[in-house]
Amino acid sequence: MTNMTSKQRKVVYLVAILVLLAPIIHLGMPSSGEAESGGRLAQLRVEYELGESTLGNIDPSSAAMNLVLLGLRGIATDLLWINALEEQKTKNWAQLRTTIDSIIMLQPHYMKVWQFQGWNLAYNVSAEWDAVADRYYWVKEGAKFMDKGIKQNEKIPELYWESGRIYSQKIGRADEWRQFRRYFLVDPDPKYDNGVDQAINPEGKDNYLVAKGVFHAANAREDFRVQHIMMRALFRSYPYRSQLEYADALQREGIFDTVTQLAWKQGFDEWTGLYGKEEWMSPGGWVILEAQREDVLRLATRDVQQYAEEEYGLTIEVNADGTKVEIIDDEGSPEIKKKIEEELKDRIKLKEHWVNRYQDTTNYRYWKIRAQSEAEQVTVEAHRELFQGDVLFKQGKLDEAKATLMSGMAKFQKMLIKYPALQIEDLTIEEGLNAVLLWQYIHQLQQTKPPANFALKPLWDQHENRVPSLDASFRSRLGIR
Amino acid sequence: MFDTTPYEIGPAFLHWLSAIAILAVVVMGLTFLFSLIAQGKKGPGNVLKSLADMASEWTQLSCRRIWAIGHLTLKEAIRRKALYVFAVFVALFMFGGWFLSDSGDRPDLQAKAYISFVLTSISWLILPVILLLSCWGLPEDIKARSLHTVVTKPVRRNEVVLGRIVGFAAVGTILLTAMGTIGYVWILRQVPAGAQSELISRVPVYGSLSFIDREGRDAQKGINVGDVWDYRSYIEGATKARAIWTFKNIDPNSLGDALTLEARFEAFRTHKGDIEKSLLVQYTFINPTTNIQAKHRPFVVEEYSQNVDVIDREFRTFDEEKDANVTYDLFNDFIDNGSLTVEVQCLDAGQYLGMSQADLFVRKPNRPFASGYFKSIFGTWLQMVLVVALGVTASCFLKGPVGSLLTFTFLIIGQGFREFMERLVGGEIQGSGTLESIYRIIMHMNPQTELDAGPATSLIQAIDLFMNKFLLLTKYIIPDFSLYATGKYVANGFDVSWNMALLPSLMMTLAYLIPCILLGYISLKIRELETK
Repeated sequence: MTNMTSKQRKVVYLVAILVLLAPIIHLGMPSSGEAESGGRLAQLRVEYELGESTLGNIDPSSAAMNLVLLGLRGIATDLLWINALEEQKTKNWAQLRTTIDSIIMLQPHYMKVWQFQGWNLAYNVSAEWDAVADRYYWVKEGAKFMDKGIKQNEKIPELYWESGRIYSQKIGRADEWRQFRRYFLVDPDPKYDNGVDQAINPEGKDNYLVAKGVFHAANAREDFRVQHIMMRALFRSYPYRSQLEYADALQREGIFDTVTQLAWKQGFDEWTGLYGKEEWMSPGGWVILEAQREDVLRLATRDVQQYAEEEYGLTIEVNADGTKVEIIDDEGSPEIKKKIEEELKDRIKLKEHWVNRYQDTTNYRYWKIRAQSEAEQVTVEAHRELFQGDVLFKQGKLDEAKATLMSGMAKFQKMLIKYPALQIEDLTIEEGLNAVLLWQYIHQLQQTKPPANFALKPLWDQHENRVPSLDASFRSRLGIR
Repeated sequence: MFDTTPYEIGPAFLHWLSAIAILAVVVMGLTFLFSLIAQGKKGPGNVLKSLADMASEWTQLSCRRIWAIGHLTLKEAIRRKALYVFAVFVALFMFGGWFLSDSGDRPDLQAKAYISFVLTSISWLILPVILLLSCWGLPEDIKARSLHTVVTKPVRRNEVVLGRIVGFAAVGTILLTAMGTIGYVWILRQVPAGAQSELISRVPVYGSLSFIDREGRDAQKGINVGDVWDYRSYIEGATKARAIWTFKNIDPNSLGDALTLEARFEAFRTHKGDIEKSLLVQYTFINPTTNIQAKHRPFVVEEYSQNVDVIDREFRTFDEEKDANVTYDLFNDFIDNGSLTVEVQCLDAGQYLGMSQADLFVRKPNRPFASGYFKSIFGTWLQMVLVVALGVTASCFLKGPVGSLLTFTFLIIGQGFREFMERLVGGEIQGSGTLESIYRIIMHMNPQTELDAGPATSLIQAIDLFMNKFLLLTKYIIPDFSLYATGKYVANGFDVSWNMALLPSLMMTLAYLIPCILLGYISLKIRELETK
């Protein structure tokens, strides 16, 4: 090479450049937008849906920022994360929000950033504030942040689920749930003029109904992309659970009208009719939660038909009660037939086992019975009277409160007799025992002896061990020393 | 979060003087020693002669010549397209709104985000440009042999160093003035109308803080509620626990007709209580001389925001001892020889109120936003001058890239890693010795595991101790650039305090400027210019 002239060297460089250019063009040529256009990388990007535009909305500022930083994105992101942690530690909230915005500019399609920081704002930062309105502001910030993440990552089911969790669990189940649910419809910030914050609740709906919509969207995405948060049957239960939680929240707020009843009815229909009919792949094959004997048989038959086809190349039919197997167009040996019948019997047993396991995991039976019972008039009346008894007690109307509680307890007992499964359910037990405690306390205040026999005595006796802790929280709630 | 300790110029100056004196003695001692070795008995005499020459050069300084070199430096910087940094600046501000649009709806948070953005951007743009210019100026001159021409003129080398510093500082001043002005206008225009009221410069008077515990005994601190950030300590509500602030040098004439107190307390609940009501706090004014006490009406704490209480000079309160309403003259009855004592208590049982020294202060009348903003820009200017001084000094004995690296290292360590360095030097980080940490990484040992006793461990620890001492020395050599971070005052709506922020910054710059000029001059004086 050293003997080459300058001109010769330049020619060699030029040839080398051209030679190297060929694989670069082959690999990296950008797509013109038409199918199959562009280099190999562009085609792979389309095939695996890795292009920016296929992931969600493109934020131009984010793209500009990444371009400006050249290869230093990782270092910049690390520094921003360190800053964010320090700002959170030193309660520098304005700066924290700005830093988080900068992080997502650099990592707009990294799910964990959205997932963590959205949760962080809604759960951790909000809890640092004392005033409920301030807390709500940060819960909203978390929800807005998550919604922004969804817009930029439309195909990630986890982000929809996280967003739904803020709308349902955070707003509906926090210590401040009464205030949060109220604020969701009447925002405390004066700039919303006693209306909703359009950014999170444009239609002015209940938080659980908003969550339901978001969870449905999560399920729609989950059809195409596996989520890694929880078991599939649980993940997909959330929209239906939101409907049930909505009805439950109305009750918790003392609303016992037809709206609540209809909410429970809709919840029951969706829980059993839609969610209950979805098929899940369990270790025992496909199962459904709303599985009657014929459903188990149908699914087991399908499995066994496939088994017979694969193992013996036979087409079979199963009789109505699942005890006999008929081999179509082929006699088959009696041993094979027996084996298939044995297999069928095993599959039915296995399916029943896994249906049961899945129902336990998803709390399916409880919600089904609860929704069914709550849609009935006697249950509504029982809840209303127990709630009303509490209100009357707080108003100082002791006689009326006592009578209303007595009547409510009788109806509550009727409900328990009709739906015995509720007798071992925590919330039901607490509601019933709290009513008895209040009723007894009124007697104590009036210096009368409560009758030894009362409507909820069976429940009281059955769960006597829970009375001391419930009594303590009952007294704390009413400020009794 | 501010350091409210006033800067004491006397002890600082004495400390600086002693450091310089020790350094001078060490350097002179070494110089005499080396000259003795190199030149024999004539050596020290030659050194003294050189020193006398140098001293005489300093008596013949010419401002005209310094300015001529400075002017030349300015023109050269412009020719090197230093002002192109404006393009980046303008682009940043054109699109800055994109990055700040979601910074929260609360007005105070929004204003804070905009102000921080402007001041940080200015600082980040100016400093690297000035650093590179100042580090490359002299080496380029030497390389291009233009300095040879300069030194043949009646220009002394100290004038070259000073001229360079003046010139680069002038470039920085032009850039900073322009950017500062544009930034100011940009903030005024960009901050939403609802947050414009946050653009003020509050003037706080901080006091000293002491505590009384729940039993009524004096305490150094309040209770630690388990917060990882121990900036605040807490007093228990509805007990004898109190936080007592004593404000000195309060001039009633500067307060107008009312006393304005501002607080930033933090609430901590041990039980839910009434979640719709924040904690109640009450101030009690105390005159320790006359023993008069007056409770002010309680107020509800708003966290992380300004709890401003304007108390009329004549205020009426219920006196429990007299069982009657009493009217006090706040200034006459409670400001005792310029000292005001305020006791703070939390009224909610089982709840805690967190506070630190800077969380309660007396507010003097506000100054315009421009006051704090331009003082902060002045702080950046002082930092820029220090960078110029360091850069020019480095360029006197190092080549451009090495000088840039050195100055950049000073800047990065002095600004971002000083606290870390102090923790290293102070032994707060377990297993942080250089060799020890390398050994632990290789051996997969966590910092809590004791090293096996033996000669190897002793050797490692001895070497690490030596390196730690070297780090200690480095800590004193590298300037504390965090002093110049005055943006936090402005972003939080405060005026930049002269005594707590600007004076220490000014002193820091001067403290380094003088030895830097001397070091640069000596380096250039003894440097062989033919060595490129």
